[in-house]
Formats: sequence, C-alpha cells, structure tokens
Amino acid sequence: MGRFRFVEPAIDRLPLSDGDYLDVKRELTTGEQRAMFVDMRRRFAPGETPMLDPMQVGIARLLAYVVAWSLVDKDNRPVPVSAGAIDQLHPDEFNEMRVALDDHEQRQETARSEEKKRRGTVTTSDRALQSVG
Amino acid sequence: MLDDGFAVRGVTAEIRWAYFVAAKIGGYTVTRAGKGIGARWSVTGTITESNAYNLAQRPLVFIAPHKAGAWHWPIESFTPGDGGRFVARLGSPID
Repeated sequence: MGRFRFVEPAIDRLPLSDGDYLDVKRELTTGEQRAMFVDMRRRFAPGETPMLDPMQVGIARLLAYVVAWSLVDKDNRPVPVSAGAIDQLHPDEFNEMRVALDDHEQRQETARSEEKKRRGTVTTSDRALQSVG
Repeated sequence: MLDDGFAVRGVTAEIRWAYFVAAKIGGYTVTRAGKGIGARWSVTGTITESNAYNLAQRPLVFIAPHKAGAWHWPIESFTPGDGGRFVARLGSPID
C-alpha cells in the first residue's frame, strides 16, 4: 500500500510577545503554495519575466499561513486577519511575526527531513538537487 | 442564539473541511424542523466552486456569514445533485 502524500489540516500556535499569538497552518498545500507565489509576484505583461514584488512577499506569506491571531484594536475588539490589517501593523510587530513564521517553516523543514531519513527514501527532487549541487 | 422557527436564506456561504474551503455556495436555504434539542436542521443550495478532494473528507462544516460573524453547522450527511445543487443534513449550530 502506498504512502499518504496529502497535507492534513493542522494548526500550530506561534507565541508572540505579551501573550499574543498567531495560529498558523502547519504546512501549505501545493495549491496554497502556488497561490502564495502568485500573490508575491509583481504584475507583469504577457511575455515578461515574472518578478517577486518585495512589497508583497512578507504579506503574502503571512496571509497564506495565518488562519487566526489574537490581535485586537484600541477598543479591545478582535481584528480579523487581512492584508489591510497587516499593512497597518507597526513594522516591529510585523517583523516579530515574520521571524515567528521563519522559525515555524524551519521546524517543519527539519521535521520533513527527519521523516525522510526515517523512511530512508530519497525523492526525485532530492536527487535533482544533489545533481545540481 | 437562533430563534424558534429559524430559517435563513443567503447568497454566499462555504463548506469547509477544517480550514480548507471544500465548496463555495451561491444561494442557500437553511431550515429547521421542530424545536429545542430535537430540532432537525438541513440546507439546500448551489455549489459554485468546489475542491473534490476536500469535499470528500470528513467532518465538513457549513458556514453562513452574518453581520456579526458567521453561523457554523456540522454537516451530518451531504448529497450532491444535478447542476451543483446539494442537500445536507446539519447538526445543531456550533457556537
């Protein structure tokens, strides 16, 4: 019997300073990852090479991962996760979230590597990387 | 929560498996037969967009937005029909 290869929905809570948190997807699916990359690109005309838009990279990544957060407005009302809300964050707060998400992605990458080692498998993409390196 | 005899019609709603959108709904009617704990809930509507993999997973939840948030019902059974139409038996609304 084959191996289960789909993403199971799982949410991890990433603690922020002062008791706040981000609830993020443990892993993105292929579709979510594709959509995130599309959101990161600068608009381009047919025939032009797509380029990453630095204005959108961090926001697109947060929007792809974050399903909820504990952030509230000045009147203590919950603020829904949105591109607009992220744009209104203080740069230091945004950076704290970016670092938390970096760490989360690194943990998942390590977990996947460990799982591959445990299975003793090398995937086609691994072989391609080895041949390039 | 919801008043006795509650029924609602709406334009947009979603069916989700965990946080994944399994289907987007364009036009639906949620009805309730009976009252109290024995009330039986159901929804009919039209699917405008779906992800077959996610729709085949369980449990599914029907989510209908309203002014202050959204109502959530667990889907107990889901029956697709012609032209994107569907019928689902719902559990009691989730707070």
